[in-house]
Amino acid sequence: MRLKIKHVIYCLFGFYTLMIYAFSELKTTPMPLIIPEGWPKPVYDFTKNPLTKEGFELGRQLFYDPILSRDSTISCASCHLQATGFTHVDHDLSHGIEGKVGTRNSMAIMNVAWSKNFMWDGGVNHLDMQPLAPLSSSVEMDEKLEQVIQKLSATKKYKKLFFNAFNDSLVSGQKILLAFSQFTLHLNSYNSKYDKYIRNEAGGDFTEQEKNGLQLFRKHCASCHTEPLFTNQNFEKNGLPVDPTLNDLGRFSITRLPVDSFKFKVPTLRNIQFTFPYMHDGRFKKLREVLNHYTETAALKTQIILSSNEKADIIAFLLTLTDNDFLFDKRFGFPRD
Amino acid sequence: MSVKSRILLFILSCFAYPATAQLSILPVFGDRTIAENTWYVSTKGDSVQFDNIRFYLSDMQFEMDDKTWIKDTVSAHLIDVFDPASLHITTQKIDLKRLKTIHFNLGIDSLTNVSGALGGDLDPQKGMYWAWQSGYINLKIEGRSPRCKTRKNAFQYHIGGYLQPFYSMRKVELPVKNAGVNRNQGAIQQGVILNVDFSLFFGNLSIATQNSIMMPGKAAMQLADYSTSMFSIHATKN
Ligand code: HEC
Ligand code: HEC
Repeated sequence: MRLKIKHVIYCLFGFYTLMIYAFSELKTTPMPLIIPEGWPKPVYDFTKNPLTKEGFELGRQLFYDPILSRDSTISCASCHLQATGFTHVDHDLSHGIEGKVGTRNSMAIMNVAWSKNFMWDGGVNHLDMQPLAPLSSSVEMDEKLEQVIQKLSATKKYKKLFFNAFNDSLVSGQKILLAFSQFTLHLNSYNSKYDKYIRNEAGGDFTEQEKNGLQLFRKHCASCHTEPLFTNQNFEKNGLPVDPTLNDLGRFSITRLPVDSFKFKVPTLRNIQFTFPYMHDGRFKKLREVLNHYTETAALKTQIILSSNEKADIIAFLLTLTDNDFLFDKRFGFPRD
Repeated sequence: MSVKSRILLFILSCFAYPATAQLSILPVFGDRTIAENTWYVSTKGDSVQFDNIRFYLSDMQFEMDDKTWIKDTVSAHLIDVFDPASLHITTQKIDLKRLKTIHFNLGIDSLTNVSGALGGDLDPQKGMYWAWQSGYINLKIEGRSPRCKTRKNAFQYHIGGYLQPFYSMRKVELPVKNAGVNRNQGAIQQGVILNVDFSLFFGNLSIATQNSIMMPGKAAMQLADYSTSMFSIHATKN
């Protein structure tokens, strides 16, 4: 009889530990994406990667950590700086490991939950898979995923962060990729002067020039740079002559369809004031040069005609897309602990 | 049987490997099993040696005599010819006497290709994923041949691509009826043996000129077509 009571107690104890274990699964804190009013539905499927505070924190640490590159010199942030809309300023072609130069200008990372394809040619088909490209590129971070897993597994810090985010300290390729998305998905810009103007909020008073700029923009530019994301998420030809030293075929290199030759992903224009130089090869340093290109090119389906004043108005409008809340949001910055 | 020995038996049966393996993959070149550092001669007279052969079998389904279908519980298996553990696939029990046809895909379907970061055999850490042009590599064959005037006489075929018109996954359908017992297999093994004969792939190829195919396109589509002929089924039906 004694024995039986003992067994029951053991059994209860076992059950109790199991319960603790089961409930420990619920430790993560949900941190859903904020979807601004009037915006379309995000493309990203959050059911497969529910956003949590712990996942975001892990992703942020990874984003700023040079441990990801072969010689521990380059992090994602080396080419994607917060203060400039998460892109690399002043370099036309981005620089990576050992100072090697890539073939394209780095892109801004903003509102990526709404993007279907990534990179200038759309070669990456899902946000989760995007970090594989810089990690494996011999001119960027030049490191293999297996190696990254090994390096991260060897640190106490990451074991803990992975445990916090996934209830499992075992590092895997899948978890690394999901964590990057947890961070980049939150890099959303929706508090510029333009947004406040649209929402009729304080700080959203447009000058006559800015209003006129918006009208002209809607007429000439919005077919590709569509509001509110300022991209139609498609691949388009905007009339740039080919740079013969790069001969970048754009979307064609992915689809092999002749109609896609020299088409590139339409970039967002949010925070455009700070994301120079412009275009896939960074050929323009100033917005004035961009507008001059659009009026001078004969390669667009509908020609754009703008006076010098009208160009100035469009530029004034483009500057209203600067979002200081986003550019200086401490949650997105270098993690200091 | 006492309770103790029954429990012991149960525990043992959980670990007894490969008692539950229903499908074994047998990679061969003609009538020889494929091994590392071994030369094989193709029907075209090319000598070849292999360093790495890996491929995905996905969406496996067993069609039974009574028209019922049994679906594999795992969506994709990564087979590594030089990793013996990957050569046994465990599925739910099937009655071999009633098994009519086996269906599977060689490679990964387009939906899975656009589904983001996946785990298990589909984790990109397995090295079967392209970084700059997203997508799974369905079949990887790497090795050497004196016929290849390349660095270290290397050849490499990375066959993949999920976008039309270069969708390189292939459906394979193998009738089990009339299949004899495999003669290559020394030990008697319960279950289905999936023979993969790489000599049939190399019998189609001009290895001197076609020795590096590393991206989606026409050439990959052609190799994908050749690759389906490698598979055949041998089952023990007792
Ligand atoms: C050496 C510079 C460099 C590093 C390091 C780098 N990137 Fe990039 N990033 C680029 C360039 C250049 C592009 C555009 C590439 C192209 O189109 O070929 C880009 C594009 C992107 C995009 C696509 C944006 C879009 O809208 O399509 C994302 C997201 C991104 N990077 C995130 C990351 C992450 C996460 C890391 C760290 C794992 C990282 N990058 C590391 C230079 C870099
Ligand atoms: C036919 C579609 C189309 C139209 C119309 C269009 N753009 Fe663009 N725009 C693009 C594409 C595509 C790119 C990227 C091109 C590249 O890098 O090769 C781009 C790039 C830009 C860039 C550089 C962004 C960056 O981050 O590098 C700016 C600025 C810009 N456009 C402003 C405008 C303005 C202002 C107008 C109207 C006067 C306009 N665009 C009209 C398609 C278009």
